[in-house]
Amino acid sequence: MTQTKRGTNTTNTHSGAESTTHRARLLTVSGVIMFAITVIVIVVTLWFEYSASLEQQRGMLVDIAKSNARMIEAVARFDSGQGGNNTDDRGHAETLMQIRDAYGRLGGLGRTGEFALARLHDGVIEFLIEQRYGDVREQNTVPMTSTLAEPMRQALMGRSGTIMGLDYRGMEVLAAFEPVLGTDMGIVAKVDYAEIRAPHIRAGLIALAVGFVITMTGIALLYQFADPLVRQINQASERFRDFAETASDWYWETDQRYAVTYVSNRYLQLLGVRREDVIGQPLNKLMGSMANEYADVSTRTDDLNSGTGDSKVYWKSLSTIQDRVGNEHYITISGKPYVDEHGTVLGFRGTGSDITSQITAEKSYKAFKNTLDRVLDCVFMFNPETLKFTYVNQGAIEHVRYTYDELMKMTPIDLKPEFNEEMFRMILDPMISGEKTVEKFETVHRTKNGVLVPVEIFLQYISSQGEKPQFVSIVRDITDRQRADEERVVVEQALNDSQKMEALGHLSGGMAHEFNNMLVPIIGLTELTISSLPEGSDEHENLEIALDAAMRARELIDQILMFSRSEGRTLETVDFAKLISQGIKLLRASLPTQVSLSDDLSQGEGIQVICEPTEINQILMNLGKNAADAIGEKGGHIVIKLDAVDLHEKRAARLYGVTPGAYAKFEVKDDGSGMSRETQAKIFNPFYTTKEVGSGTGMGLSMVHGLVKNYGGAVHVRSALGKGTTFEVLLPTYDADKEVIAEPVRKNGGLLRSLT
Amino acid sequence: MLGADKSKSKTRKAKHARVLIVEDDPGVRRTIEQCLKKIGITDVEAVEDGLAAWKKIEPAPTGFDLVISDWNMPFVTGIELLEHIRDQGIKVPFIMITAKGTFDAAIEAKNAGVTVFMPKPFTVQHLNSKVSEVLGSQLQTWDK
Repeated sequence: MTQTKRGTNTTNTHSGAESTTHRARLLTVSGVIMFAITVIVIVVTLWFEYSASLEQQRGMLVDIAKSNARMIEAVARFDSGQGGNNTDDRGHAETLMQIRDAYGRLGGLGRTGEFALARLHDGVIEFLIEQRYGDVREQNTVPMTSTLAEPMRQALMGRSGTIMGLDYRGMEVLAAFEPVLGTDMGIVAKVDYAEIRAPHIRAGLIALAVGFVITMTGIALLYQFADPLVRQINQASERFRDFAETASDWYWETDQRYAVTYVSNRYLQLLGVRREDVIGQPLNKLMGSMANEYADVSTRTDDLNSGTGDSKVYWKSLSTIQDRVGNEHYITISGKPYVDEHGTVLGFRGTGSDITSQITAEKSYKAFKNTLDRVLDCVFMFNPETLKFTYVNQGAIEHVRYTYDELMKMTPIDLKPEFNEEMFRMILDPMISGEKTVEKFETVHRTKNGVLVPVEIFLQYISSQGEKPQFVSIVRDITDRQRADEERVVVEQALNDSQKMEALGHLSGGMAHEFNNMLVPIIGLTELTISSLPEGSDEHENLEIALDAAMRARELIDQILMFSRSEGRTLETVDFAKLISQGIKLLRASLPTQVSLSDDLSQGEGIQVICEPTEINQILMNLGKNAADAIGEKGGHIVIKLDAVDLHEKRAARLYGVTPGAYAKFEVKDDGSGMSRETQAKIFNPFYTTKEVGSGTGMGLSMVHGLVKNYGGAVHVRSALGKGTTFEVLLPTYDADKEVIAEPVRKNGGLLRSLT
Repeated sequence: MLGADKSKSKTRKAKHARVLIVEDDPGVRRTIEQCLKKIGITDVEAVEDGLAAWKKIEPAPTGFDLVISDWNMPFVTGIELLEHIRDQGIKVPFIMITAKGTFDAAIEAKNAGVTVFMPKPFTVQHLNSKVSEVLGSQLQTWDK
């Protein structure tokens, strides 16, 4: 600060001294001019006066010379008439005497006035009378050839007139000469120039003195009265110069042909050019080339000349120009014509400024804003006091569905249904006080159309020096992430469950295996023992009950095994007819010899079914065994048929209790005992069995039912007592062309859940 | 009741049969022995694993009329024993009893050349009817 002040002072002092010198010079010059004028006036005046005086003297001298000559002529004529035959010399001398006397009494022609009478005698000018300063002198001769006594020589040569020249003394004189006719004499009346000049020189000197005094007085007065004015003008011009030369803008001027006549320093400094490089150049050169990208900023009157007389014509343009080292500058030039009093355009002038930094800043700001706008996260900024938004990016706008203008009137609380101002301030306050720098939390945003969006908010308080502190909030829509999290939990749970189930399956499978081993001696040896005991005895009956319990245990183990196998099963697309034919082979091997089996799979050639083959085999095996059991000891026949049925029609589908589509149908038909309606109603019930203890599990048909339902199929039974039984199984087929897979519905999970 | 005569004739024939039991579980072994005894078969040898069984069969490939074997056993399993016997061209009837009563297992056993596949637990009647059936027939086996 001190330094700056001192600097300023120095500048002032400097400029003050400069201005004083300038003022002194101005005063001196004006004083000299005034004095010179005075002198000229005096000289001119005196010159005219002197000329007039000279002319007057000349006239007087001519009069004297002429009058004297005529008088002497008269005297000479008289003298020559009286003397008769007197010799000329005597007459001449007498005349001369009379004249001399007369002159002696006359008294002279002023101080330097002189009257001379001379005659030519033997080539010599012989002065007869010389009256000077009141004295009359005699006898003075000057040779005729001498340059002295020029007036007398002219007179003696018979001429009359006036002359300025040297007299016989060599003095500069004004003389009038006149010949005395009838004699050999001439008359000269003269006066010294010095005498004529003297009064004029004196007057001149006095006038000069007076003039000098007046001039001095004038200067003093000028200084007294005009100096403040001059000083003001000075200051104004200085002010302008200071402005012009220190301004960050520059000033320029051209003539009416756009040739630059002036440009201030700033321009020269900016571009590193010399003034002479610019002066006289066309204005275009000063402006560089128009920046196309900013052409819209330029408002230029098309025809400046047509705007003649209108001093309001104004234009502004933006252009780019390269400085000496090749850096590009953005400059704006604005100007208007200046006119004379008749309205004729004399030229143009205006200002220019370097807006490179502005443009650069603007560009980088634009680039920054553009980038920020396009960031996918939502960026909000808001005022810490009013909480009003000060900036939101495009992502934010798209996120909350409000417009920019709407958001500018809102606060973050308007978007957060879970917050009121008090709660929100509780988050903000520790950040304003500096306890925390950032805050991260999850909440919900309500968009304009009322949708609640889960968000993660990253809040930061930014208070850099010199700028208003702001909150910057980066908001991320975490809908997808939350959904993914939820899905992950579900998948993890499912995986967990399935792993648990698998483990349980393994465990139960292993256990069932062991139990089956243990049951072999329990069942086998009990049976053997029973057979050796008398029927009706307590021991026989006790072991029957034990055997019954062992049989139930076996059924339970079957269920466990079925469950353990149903987990982790793999579905595949199989050729159904092939699968069934393979199953029939196995079935045939396990059937008692009194039961025969025939099949007809021709109608189902090429049917594709998505299934686990083992399960299909189980279905087939169960139905086959069931049929064999129904046939019993008396023997009989089983027929297995495969068919493809089209149940696309809704009615048909409803009849079978399946969704419309294509199905594979296989039926297992026996000519066994058949079933009553009551029995038919119960056959799919687990643990229901008509068979004697040990020969049936009761699980068979209910398992078939469960498996088939799982595939989205159905099982039907047609039977009458004594007329055999037919089981129909419908399974949805896989149509490779449609690529539609009937999603198997797992419903038999109920059984295994009851086990776990 | 109808099959009583039939089974009698079979039993009569089977009575002289020589049976090899391969089973590591003593309870099951005893049960099988008791079942066979019930139908009069007493010429029975029992071993605890497949390797021991092979050592009995190898010196006299036609020495046994029937092999009843468990599947899961230490050292050499029942299925390995079956495969090996069939590999050696021995066509002795083979009843595989197993607690692994799956269809996959049944198919595997069938492919290995089993005569009867019998899931555990079985009843005396079931085992005996199969044994009688096998011994009464022409000792036919599954095609390999």
